[in-house]
Amino acid sequence: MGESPATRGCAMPRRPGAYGSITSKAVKLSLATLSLVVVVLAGSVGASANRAAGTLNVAVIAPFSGPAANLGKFISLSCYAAAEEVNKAGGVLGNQLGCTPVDDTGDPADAVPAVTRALATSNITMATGLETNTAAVTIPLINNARVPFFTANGLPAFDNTTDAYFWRISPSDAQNGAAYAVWAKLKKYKSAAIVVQANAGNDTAEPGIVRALKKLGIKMTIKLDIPGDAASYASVVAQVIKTKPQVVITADDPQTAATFFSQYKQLNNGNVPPLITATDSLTPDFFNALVKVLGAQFVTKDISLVGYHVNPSSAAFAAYKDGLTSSSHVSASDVPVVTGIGVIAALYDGDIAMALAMNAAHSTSGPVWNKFIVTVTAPGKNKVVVHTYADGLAALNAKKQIDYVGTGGQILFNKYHNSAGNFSATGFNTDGSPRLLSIFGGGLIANALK
Amino acid sequence: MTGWEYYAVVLLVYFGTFLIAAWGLNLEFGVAGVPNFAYIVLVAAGAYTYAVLTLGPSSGNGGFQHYIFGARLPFAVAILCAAAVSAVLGAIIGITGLKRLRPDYQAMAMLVVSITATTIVVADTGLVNGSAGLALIPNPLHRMSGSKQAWGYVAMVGVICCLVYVVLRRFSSGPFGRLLRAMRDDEEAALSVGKNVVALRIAVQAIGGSFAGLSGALLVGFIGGWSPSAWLFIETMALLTAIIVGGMGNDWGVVAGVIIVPTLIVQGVQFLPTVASNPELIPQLGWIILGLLTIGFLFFRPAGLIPERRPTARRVRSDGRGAHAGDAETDRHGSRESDARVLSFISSLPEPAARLREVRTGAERGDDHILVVEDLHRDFGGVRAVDGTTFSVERGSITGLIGPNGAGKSTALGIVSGFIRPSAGTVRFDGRDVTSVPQYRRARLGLVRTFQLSHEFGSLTTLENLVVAAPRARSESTLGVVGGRRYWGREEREITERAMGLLALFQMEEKTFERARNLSGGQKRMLEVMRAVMTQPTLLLLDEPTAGLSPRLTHRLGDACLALREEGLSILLVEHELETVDRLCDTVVVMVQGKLFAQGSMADLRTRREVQEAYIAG
Amino acid sequence: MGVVVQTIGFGIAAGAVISLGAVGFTVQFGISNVLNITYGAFMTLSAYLGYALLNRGLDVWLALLLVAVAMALISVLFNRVFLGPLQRRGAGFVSVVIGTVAAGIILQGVIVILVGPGAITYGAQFGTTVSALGFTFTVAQLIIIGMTLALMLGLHLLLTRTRIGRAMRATSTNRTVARACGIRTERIIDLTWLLTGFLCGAAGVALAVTTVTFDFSLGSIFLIYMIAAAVLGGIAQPYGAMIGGIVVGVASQLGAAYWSPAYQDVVAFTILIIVLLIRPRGLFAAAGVTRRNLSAT
Repeated sequence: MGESPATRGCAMPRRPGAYGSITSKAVKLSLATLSLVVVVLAGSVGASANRAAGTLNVAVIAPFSGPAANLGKFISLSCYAAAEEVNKAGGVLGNQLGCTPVDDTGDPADAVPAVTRALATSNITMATGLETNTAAVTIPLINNARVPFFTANGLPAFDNTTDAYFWRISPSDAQNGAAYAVWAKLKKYKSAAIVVQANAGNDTAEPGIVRALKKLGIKMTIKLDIPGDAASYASVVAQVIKTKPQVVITADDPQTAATFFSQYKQLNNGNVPPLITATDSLTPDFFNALVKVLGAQFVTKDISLVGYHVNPSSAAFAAYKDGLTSSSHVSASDVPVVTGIGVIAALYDGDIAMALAMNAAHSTSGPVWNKFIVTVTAPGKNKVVVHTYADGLAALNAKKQIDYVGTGGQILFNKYHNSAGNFSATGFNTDGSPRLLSIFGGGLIANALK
Repeated sequence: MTGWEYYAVVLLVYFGTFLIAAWGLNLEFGVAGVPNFAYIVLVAAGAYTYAVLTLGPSSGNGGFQHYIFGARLPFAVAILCAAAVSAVLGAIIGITGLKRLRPDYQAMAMLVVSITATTIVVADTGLVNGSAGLALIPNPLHRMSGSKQAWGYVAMVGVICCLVYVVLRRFSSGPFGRLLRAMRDDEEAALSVGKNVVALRIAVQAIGGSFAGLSGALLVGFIGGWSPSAWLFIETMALLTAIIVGGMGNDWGVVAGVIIVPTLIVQGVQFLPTVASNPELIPQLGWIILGLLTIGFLFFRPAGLIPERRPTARRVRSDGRGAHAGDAETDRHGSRESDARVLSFISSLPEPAARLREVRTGAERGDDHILVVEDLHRDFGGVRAVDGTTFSVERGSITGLIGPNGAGKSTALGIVSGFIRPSAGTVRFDGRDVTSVPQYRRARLGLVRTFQLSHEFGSLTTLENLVVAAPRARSESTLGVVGGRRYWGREEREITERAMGLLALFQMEEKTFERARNLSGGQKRMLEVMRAVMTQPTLLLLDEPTAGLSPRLTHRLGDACLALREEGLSILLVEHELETVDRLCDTVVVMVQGKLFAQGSMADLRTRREVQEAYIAG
Repeated sequence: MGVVVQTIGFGIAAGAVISLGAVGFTVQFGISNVLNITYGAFMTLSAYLGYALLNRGLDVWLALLLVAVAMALISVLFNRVFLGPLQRRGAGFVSVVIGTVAAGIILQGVIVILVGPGAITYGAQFGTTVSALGFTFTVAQLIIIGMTLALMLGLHLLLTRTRIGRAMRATSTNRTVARACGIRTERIIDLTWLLTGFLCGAAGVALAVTTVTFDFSLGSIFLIYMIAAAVLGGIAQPYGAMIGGIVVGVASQLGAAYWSPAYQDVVAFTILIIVLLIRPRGLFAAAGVTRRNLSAT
């Protein structure tokens, strides 16, 4: 056989250089789009200088899309309230405060470009939010950019953090968990069921609940993690009913809670044991959902919400509410949404503290005024206790030292920039507004976790 | 480092990791036609693997997160392991393709796998810390800091991208890429020419998986954290959009797609001013734009911005230079070259002597029939398509299989070739029982079929359709992929020569570089037969090859068959046109209602009344 | 024993809603040969529309009826304007599925922009609870079960006893041949989308009644259950989808009771994957879904 006469003397077939034309087309196209990107970016630098020179931007880093989209809305409200209060009193060192929402989408992979973009384009002076879902990636970014921030997440990862710009005045999740147990003990319950929706916050809180229940001698009848948003929890409900708990410790979003407990009521002859849940649920969504399935009487009498304590009759709280109602970015229907949630109010306090710190340091440069956050919140002799930004500013201008006491009481940062705070149990009034039931100290929580 | 600088770094790192992932998915879906909707799970697996191998033990740091391993391995090792784990996982997921489901069913199965994986990871908090995810994942460049670390990472990702590209080309272009595209275009045809489609699929998903794992590891090493919300099913859709927009099946198209979709559009949307009264507007708008883009391109430009590349096989001229389609100069030499090609093709067939040697072995086993079919049965939901058929085909003969409509001829052919499983009966090929041998193996043994409805590899040219059918090609083996052109270049030329000869034999040279989907119906049928012949079969099963052919083409086909028979090829021909049967067939088998009705020469059968009646009645 | 019976009862109630949705889904597949992932987003839309009507004081069951009618029209439009043309352009199976996923994303995005991401609640529309034979059902669940049964019966009678039904079955099996036989396939297809759209709307509102409170992800989460039911029962087989729905519902509840609530979804998913691996045609196979069947002559 061998080579045929026709193939003798063949050279190698020409390399597939036909890609040449495609490659150059691709290169041209890519260059075109890249230049478009550059133009857009450059243009937006100009555009975002719509924050006039003279605006200090607070980055609100939270989800505004995706499954946790509601959280972003809540957190941004606290920023608007703070900005309103600060600007009304004259701003910070001649600058107005502005809130810049940064959508972290609840997804760590998407959060990183969103935050770095904001840092690049929006002249960020301070930050708030940085919630549980994405804190692991957003916190290093903000910290490395030397931007002081107050965070709303409870991840135990940050209980012993050395990040200099990290500040937290809301409890860590283990403490949140223990708080449920402490409250159950205070109400003298002997047995409790734990039914929580599987999500990041609850995952980290659950060990706290379990440990504290044990320490306090309350019998844990059953512990279940339920997937959120299921159409039916009937079998799970039946299991819980069987264990006959005196109280159910639960933490879920409104739809999960409504579905679950409506089935509980249906399967338990109309009876639902008292519920202990988190103050995160002090929202109209949750209230309305449960009133519709469990009735107003149950909701106002038998649901207690435990969490970081904010004092609704404090002057700081009044300022917070005032800020909410006056802000043009907050609609009237939004005001009741967040006034109950302690953690959100804590963010307001953080914003105020940061504004005061800038004044005390006479600087808007992060590395300079960061440590003044302690200065303006620590108690001390000869310090003027203030509850609002206006009062604090006036005192500072009068060359006094201040101690800003916020909605949650005295702020005491430990060396990890965590301030423990107190806890409280709250109930619903018939109109859905919060009603303080009891305050219990952070010391109780710490003991329950030993 | 300024904010802008760092943002640029982030965009570049994201671009690189996204590109690697998109290349992998493009290889699986764009090139090989495997709709892997669970791709993002493979990316996540890579990220998690890297994380649990580089993190210290989970009890450390206060034990705030729970995960398996915690091996604190060196970073390079962890990255490689990430790629390996995802490759294995990809192969396992590929097993769901074993059933050879319809593509959208497969896609759906993958979707479910994706969601199941998320559910399991969230539920089992000890695995990789559930919903909270993993934090403090070490950066491989942690010894550097600031600007150096950032740009160092960009450089690292860039280098790895280039390496990935080199590896990718081995699979997505050249003969192997051609093979994958053939499989994508028509799986049945690929099986009929001896390609082990299942193994190929699993291999492709392993390769694509390794890209995914690499991408995940690189991303998570950079951002330092990972959780289930980062790899919901919707992320696979984002990758798919990039590929669809850029250009499916084209590696550079994917580059364009990755520039446009995740970078330009997704990031660009974030620059729009936020509407304070509706903070959801802009973020959701991003997703809506993505959806509209996808639909827009599916409707108006499904091939993407940069469509799939051009042919891999080139005609080789006598002076050694390659030629393009429509090369006028070559056409002038046409007919002389044609004859030369025919000669070269014929001479390239395995020597009759070699075949005779095989024949003799078969004969030693007491067999001078190349095919023996015994007592075949096959039901289709109550209809007895084949009902106890027994017949045989003599070596070196052209046997016709005729009968009225519904007699079961095509079914019988399907059973013989292994595409339909009989409910009873045996098939013996070349002395060997092949009843339970899969269809692609039978093709490799030399038992090759054509289809009643043309199954061409549409996006490949006529020439490529033939070249890809060559059996035991070096370029399709693992060694071939690794070795590259140096290893299979010569053989590829020889195969191309042979294919040219075949084209000459069937007088279809002017269609050499035409994409097969653009051929006329008749040309496609010729292509069917040619492709089957390229596999160097010993027994060729032709299923109504002249259906829809003009008399001229029918005659041409007949000529070719006779020529092939001279070279020792046996043919079983299912035909309706009795003229063709008359002209070509030595023996004829008549099937009626699933059973063998008569057997003999055409002349013989003509005289038998019962045969005529069966035809009229049936 | 009592627990098992009770759990099965829960499964039947959950399964009824799954069935209602699954039947529409599977018949859409039969007639248009497409796995319509947008179905989930349509169910979400139905739930929201129902809420809008509830807010105006309508009775929930009346709202369900009206929403079902609205969805019937929207579905026909969807096929006419989007799905049909996409298929006619020669888009492959997977491309069409990708198209429906994209459409679902768009619809969901629009809903969030217009209504916001917050939770919506119907309130308990359950009525009283009824116990019998160890089962516990609410009146609402009984209504849903009854409605599902009635619609199934109606569909069965339509498909087997009427000329239109036969035309639908013919078109579903082989559109070209049906057209050649003189069937006005365009009309039949429109009619099928009307019917299945009706079922989709009813299922969406029924689901909202069952879960009481929901947000924009309602349909997309529920979709997998419906797909599992449809595939299990045999795609394009309405009766199969019904039985499939019950099986999936019962299996999920049993899984939640005896394995772990966190894994109750996994049960449904595993059923789906196993069916696809072992017998993709489902229990009561009608259309072919393996490649072999596609090229069979």
